[in-house]
Amino acid sequence: MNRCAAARIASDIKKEFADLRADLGYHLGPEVTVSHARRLLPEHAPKMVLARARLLRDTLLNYLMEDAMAALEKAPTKVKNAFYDSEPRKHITSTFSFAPSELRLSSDLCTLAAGVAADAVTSIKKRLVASSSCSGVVAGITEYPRKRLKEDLDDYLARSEQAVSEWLAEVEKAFVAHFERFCREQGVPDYERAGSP
Amino acid sequence: MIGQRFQEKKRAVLDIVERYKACREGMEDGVDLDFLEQRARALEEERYILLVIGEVKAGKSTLINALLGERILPTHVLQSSSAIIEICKSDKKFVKVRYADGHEEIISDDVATLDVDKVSEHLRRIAALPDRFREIPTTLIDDWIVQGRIVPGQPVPIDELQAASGLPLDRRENLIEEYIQGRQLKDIPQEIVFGFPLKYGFDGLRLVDSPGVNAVGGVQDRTFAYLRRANAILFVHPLTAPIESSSFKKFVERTLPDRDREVLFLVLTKSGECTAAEVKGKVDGARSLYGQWFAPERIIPIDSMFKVIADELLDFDSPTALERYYEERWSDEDDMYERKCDLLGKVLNRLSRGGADATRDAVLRELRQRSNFDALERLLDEFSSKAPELQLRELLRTVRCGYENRLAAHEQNIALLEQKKRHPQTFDQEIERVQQVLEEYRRALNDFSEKMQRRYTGVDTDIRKEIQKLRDTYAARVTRQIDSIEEIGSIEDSIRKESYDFNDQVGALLRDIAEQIRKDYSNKMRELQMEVKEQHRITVPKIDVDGTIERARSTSEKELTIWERFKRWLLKRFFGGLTAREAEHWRSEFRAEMDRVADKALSIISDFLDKYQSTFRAELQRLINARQAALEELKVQKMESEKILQRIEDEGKKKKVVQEEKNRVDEILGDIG
Repeated sequence: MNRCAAARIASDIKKEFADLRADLGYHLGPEVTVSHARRLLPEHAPKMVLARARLLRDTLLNYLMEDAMAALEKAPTKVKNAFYDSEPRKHITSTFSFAPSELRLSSDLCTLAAGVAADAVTSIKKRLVASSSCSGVVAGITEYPRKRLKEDLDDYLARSEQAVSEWLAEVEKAFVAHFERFCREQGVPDYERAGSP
Repeated sequence: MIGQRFQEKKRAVLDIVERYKACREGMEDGVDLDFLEQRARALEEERYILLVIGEVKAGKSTLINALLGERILPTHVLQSSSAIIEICKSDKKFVKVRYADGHEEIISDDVATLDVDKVSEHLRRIAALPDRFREIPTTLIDDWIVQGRIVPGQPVPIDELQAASGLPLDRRENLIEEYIQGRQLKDIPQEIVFGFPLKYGFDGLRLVDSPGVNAVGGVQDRTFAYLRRANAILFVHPLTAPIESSSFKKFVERTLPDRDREVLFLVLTKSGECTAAEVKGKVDGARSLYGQWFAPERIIPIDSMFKVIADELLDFDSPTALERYYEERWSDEDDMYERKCDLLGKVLNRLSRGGADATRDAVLRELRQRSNFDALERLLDEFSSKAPELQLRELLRTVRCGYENRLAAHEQNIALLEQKKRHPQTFDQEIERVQQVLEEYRRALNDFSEKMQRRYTGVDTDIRKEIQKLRDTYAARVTRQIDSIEEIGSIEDSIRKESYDFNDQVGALLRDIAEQIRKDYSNKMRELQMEVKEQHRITVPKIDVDGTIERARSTSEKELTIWERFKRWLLKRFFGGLTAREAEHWRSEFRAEMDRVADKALSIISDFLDKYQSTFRAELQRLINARQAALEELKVQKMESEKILQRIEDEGKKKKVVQEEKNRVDEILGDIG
C-alpha cells in the first residue's frame, strides 16, 4: 500500500493547529480580560482540540482508503467488495478515540496577583481619563499576565499538536495492519498491491 | 377547513401502504417492513402546530376561538396566563397542566356543556389573577421566577423589570413584592394542553396560544422555542392600533426566525371596526412596512368576531333570535356581547339597505364574507398541506421502490426462464454473467460511498467552509449588536435571537446536507441502473434511499439529543442573569459557543454519514444476496419444458399485479407533485 497518507496528513495537522491558534487567540484579545480568558480557555481549548483531532482522523481515513483502493486496483471485484465489507473505517473509529490533555495555567501567586490587579485596573481604566504616564504603567501591568496566558496556551497547543500527530500515526499503523491482514486472508499477491513497501 | 386536503391525501397513502403489506408475500424487495410501519404510524400521529402570537389585546384568543369554531377558552384566561396553551382534538374534554416545578395535573370531563364544566372552571382557577396585580407585569415576573432571576425574599431587580416590560413601575415595588411572595413554582403553569371535541377533520392540528407580548415586545424563552417548532406562525395585530407601531415592529424584528419565512402570516384583526377604505390603506401600509418579512398574500385583514357570530348563528333559528340572546347577556362587566350586537346590527342594516331579506342564510353569508375567514382558512389549508406532504412522498417512494424491485426480479426471472427453455446449454453461463454484473454494481456503489465520504467529511469540505462562514457572519452581527445597544435587557433579546438564528441556520444546513446526500445517492443509483440496463439488459435492485436516510436519522437521535441539550445549555448560560461586567465578555462567550456548535455540526454530519453508509451497504448486501439466491435456485432446479412454461406464466401474472399497484403509487405521487 502506497504511503501518501502520512505526508498529506502532516501538512493538514500543521494547518489545522495554526487555525486553532488563531481561533483561540480571539479570546486573548484586548477587549477580553485575563480573568475571563483564564476561566474560559481551560474548558474551551481541549474541546476544540478534540474536535480537530476527530476531523483529522476522518481526513486521514479518507486518504488511507484512497491508498488502499489504489493498491487493490487490479484485484477482482469480489475482493474489492470484501474489503469494503470488512468496514475498515468502523474498525478504526470504534477502536481509536483521542483524549485531549488538560490545559493547566501558570498559577503561581505572583501571576495570579498580577492578573487580579490588572483586571481591576482595566475596569478603572474605562472610567478614568488616564494620564499618559498612568496608561503606560497600566499597560505594563496588564500585559504580563496576558503574555503568560498566551505562553501557556501556545505551549498547550504545541503539546496537543504533537499528541494528535502521534495518535494519527497509530491510526495509520492500525489501518495498514488491517489492510495487510485482509490481503493475506484474501490471498491478494504482493505484486498486485501497487506501491506496496 | 384547515388540513382537509392533506387529510384526504394522507388516507390515500396509508391505504397504499396497507395494500403493499397485504401483497408482499414475504418477498425480499429492499423495503424494511418494520420501519415502513413505524413511519406510517408517525404519519397517522402527525402534529401540525399553528402558533398564534401577538401583543396583549390584539385579538389572539378571539381568532383562535373563531378558527376552531368554538368558544374554547374565556379570553381573559388566556391573557392573564404566562403559560403556553395548546389546544388539540380529543373525544373527551380534558386539561393537562404542567407547572414550573415539574408536577402535572390532569382533569377530564365527560360533560359536553361548555360553560359549566369543571375543566373550564379549573382553567379559570389556575389563571385567576386579583385585579390589583393587573398593573404589574405578572407574566414577566412569573417567567423570571422560573428562570431564577427573581427569588422570593431577595431584592427585586425593579429597574431591569421596568426596562424589560416597558411599564412604569415606580411606587409599585410593594405590590410586586406582595405578588412575588405569594408565587411559588408549584403555582406557575408552564404548559396547558386543552383537549376538546373539535369539529375539525384534521386530527393532528394543534393550535397554540402564546402569552401576550408585553409593551416593548419582550418574548418568553418558551415562546421563542415554540416559534422554531411551529409549522406556521400567525402574528396578530389589530387594525385599530397604528400599523407602524414601533413596539410591534420591534417585536417582529426580534422574534422572526431567519429562515422559513414562507411559514409566516400577518393577520390584521378587528377589520369590522374600520371602514373599507381604512382597511385597504392599512393593509397596503403593512405590505410596504413588513414586506421584507411577510409575502403580500400572507398579510390579511380579518374580523374574528364576524366568524364567531356566524358560528353562533348556526345554533339559532333566526338572526333576530341571536340578537335577542346577545342583548340578554349584555352587561357592564363584559363588553363582548355589546360588540357582537353592534356587529350583527351592522350586517342586518347593510342587508336591509341593499333591499335584501335578512334571512339566516343571507346573514350567514354576509358574516363569513366580512370576517374574511374563507381567505384565511384557504391560505392556511394550502400551507398546511405542503409541509407534511414531504412525509407522504417519502412513504410512497419507499413503497414504489419495493414494487420496482419486485418488478425487476419478475422480469429477470422471466428472461432467464425463457433462456433456459430455448438454450439450456448456455443457461449456467448466463446466470454467472448476471451474478458478475450484480457484483460490479455493488462495487460501483461502494466506490461511490467512498467518494461521498471524501466530499462530506474531513478538513477540506465545502460544508465546513459554509459553517465557518455562518460562524463569522453571526459573530460579526453579535459584535455589532453589542456595540450599538446600551441596555442589558435589549442585549439579552438581541443575543437570544442571534443564538437561536445561528442554531437554526446550522440545523437547516444539516438538514440540507441530509437532503443533498439523499439526492446524490438517488441520482447515482439511477445512473448506474440505466448504465447496467443498457450494457447488460439487466435490471439491478434498487435501495430505498429515503428509508435508509430516515433510519440513519433515527439512529443519530443520540447526537441530536446532545444538540438539543447543547442549545438549552447555550441559552441557560446566556440568560442565567449576567452582570454588566460579564456582559462585556459576550463577544468571547458567543464566539466560543459558536465554535462548539460548528464542531458539533461537523461531527453530526460525520456520524450521520457513517450510519447512513453502514445501513445502505447492509441493505444493498441483503438485496443482492436475495437476488443471487434466486439465481442459484434457478440454476440448480431441474425443470421440464412444461414446468418452465407454467413458471413463466406465474411470473407474468405476478408482474402484472405489481405493475398495477405501482401505477397507483405513481398516480398519487403525481397528484402530490
